[in-house]
Amino acid sequence: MGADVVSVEDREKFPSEAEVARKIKSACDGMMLSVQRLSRRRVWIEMPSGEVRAFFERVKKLWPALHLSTITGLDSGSEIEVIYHFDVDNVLVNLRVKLDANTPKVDTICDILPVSDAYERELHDVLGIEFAGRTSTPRLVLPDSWPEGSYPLRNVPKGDEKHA
Amino acid sequence: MPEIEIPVGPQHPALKEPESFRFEVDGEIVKSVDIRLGYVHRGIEKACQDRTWVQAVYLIERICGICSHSHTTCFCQAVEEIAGIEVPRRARFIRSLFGEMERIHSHLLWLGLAGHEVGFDSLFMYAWHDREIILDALESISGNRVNYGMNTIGGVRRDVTEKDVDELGRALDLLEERVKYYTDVALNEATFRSRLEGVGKITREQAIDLGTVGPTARSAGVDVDLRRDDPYAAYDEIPFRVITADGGDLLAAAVVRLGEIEESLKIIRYIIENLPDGPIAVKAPRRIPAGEACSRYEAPRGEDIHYVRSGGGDKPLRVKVRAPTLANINAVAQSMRGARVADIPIIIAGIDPCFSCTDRMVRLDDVSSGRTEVLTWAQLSARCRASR
Repeated sequence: MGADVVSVEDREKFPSEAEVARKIKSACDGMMLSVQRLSRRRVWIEMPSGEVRAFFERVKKLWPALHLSTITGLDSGSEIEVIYHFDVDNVLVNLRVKLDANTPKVDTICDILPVSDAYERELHDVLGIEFAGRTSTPRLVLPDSWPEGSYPLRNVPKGDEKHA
Repeated sequence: MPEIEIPVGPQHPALKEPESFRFEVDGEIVKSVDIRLGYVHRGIEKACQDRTWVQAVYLIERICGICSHSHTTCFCQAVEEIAGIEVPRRARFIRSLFGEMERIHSHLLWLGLAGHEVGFDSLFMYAWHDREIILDALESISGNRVNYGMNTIGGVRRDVTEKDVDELGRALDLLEERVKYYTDVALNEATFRSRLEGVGKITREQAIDLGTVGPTARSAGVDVDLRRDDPYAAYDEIPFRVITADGGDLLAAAVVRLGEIEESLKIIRYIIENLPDGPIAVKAPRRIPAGEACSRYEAPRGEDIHYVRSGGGDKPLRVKVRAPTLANINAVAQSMRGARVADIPIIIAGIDPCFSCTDRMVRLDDVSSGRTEVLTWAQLSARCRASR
């Protein structure tokens, strides 16, 4: 039971965020992927929403023990952003895709990473994002009596709050 | 025999919180389970958007009654990263100190509940009695048993005094001895072992595929711990061991959590012996510059993750929280298959889903004399301690 005491030197052996970003870029050769920013143990990347499945297929092949921490969705006004947060080699990679605000739709990654099921259902509930390829998207956080087509985390135009 | 569906929850005496489980059983054996969450969804993420940055800290503290410090640390770290605030070294040590004290009380709470769920109520009472030692220490430093209100953006709100360090030292002596005893019980008590061994089992591969975190993952041999893997607060300066076990069952979960309490006690000793001098907070601006950050924290139940976006105003644009139980609930569904109906409560309790409540004043009615006495918390505490 238990490993040895962790020393500061052990921690320095972790691959750096730049190294992880480089590996992802080379695995996703030919894809429209841009590394936006690197910070301490974080990589921020962005890509077109159509390539999400291909991206995760390739990255999962590279890191079979990839850990998807969660998926964030947010309404930034003109578009809906979806950010996939996943851990590889102790670096948290944040992959952003932007969806059309009127018909937010992206392919599901449930069959590649089954963990994403709960996170996709939550985003479907609160932002109305459709995940193409799922047989069903049952509610996770909203009650069954919640009105169809009302999404609590969508921005509401000023003065229109009553109808939210 | 035909399969029968048994609904458990959302309101059920065996559950500590509202969740809905629909078990399909064939005789005594569980065939599958359908889990439905959301019954305590309070819209905290949305509510944060209507609060100032500092008000949001207090709301986030109330996401969870047990790991409140985990959530506020995680949130404050994200905001500090966006604003480029350098938290003073002493504040980082105090954050780690509270994080470990919280881990100890959370794991002792789990141990007691695990004892209760397998019918070992003496263990439940002993563990919760000893949990008071660390809760008293938390209260004497912060003023609160839970929801300590220690964190603020830029550091911590209360300092740890010499007197606190002395008191904490004595609490550690007492707890070290008790934890040794509990470890002995968990490893050697035949009834306790036989109720946990092989129950709620997941393999290492399943633990990875299901995205489990924290002690649930570590008890299946997955060597992850964000305090080492993505260090925050003062963990990049503190030596400690990451406890793992191979069983993947609930006995392994108990072994891991008890081992972690022991490690936490050592970490606390290290912190109070090496607590640096200096300020405990820097002033944070009222408006946080536009930007985004994602912060992670090793809560008692595993990885807690907060994504925060600022538009440059005095309120957050978006706060996203994923608490560890959501990541671990898949493991419950997996390990339920093939389990016995009698083991359902302990398997649910195995991942340590969250529950807490606290009373600040207690009214005692003495039935024999008809006398009613109102005690303050301090008076009640003093009476309890007299019997310890």
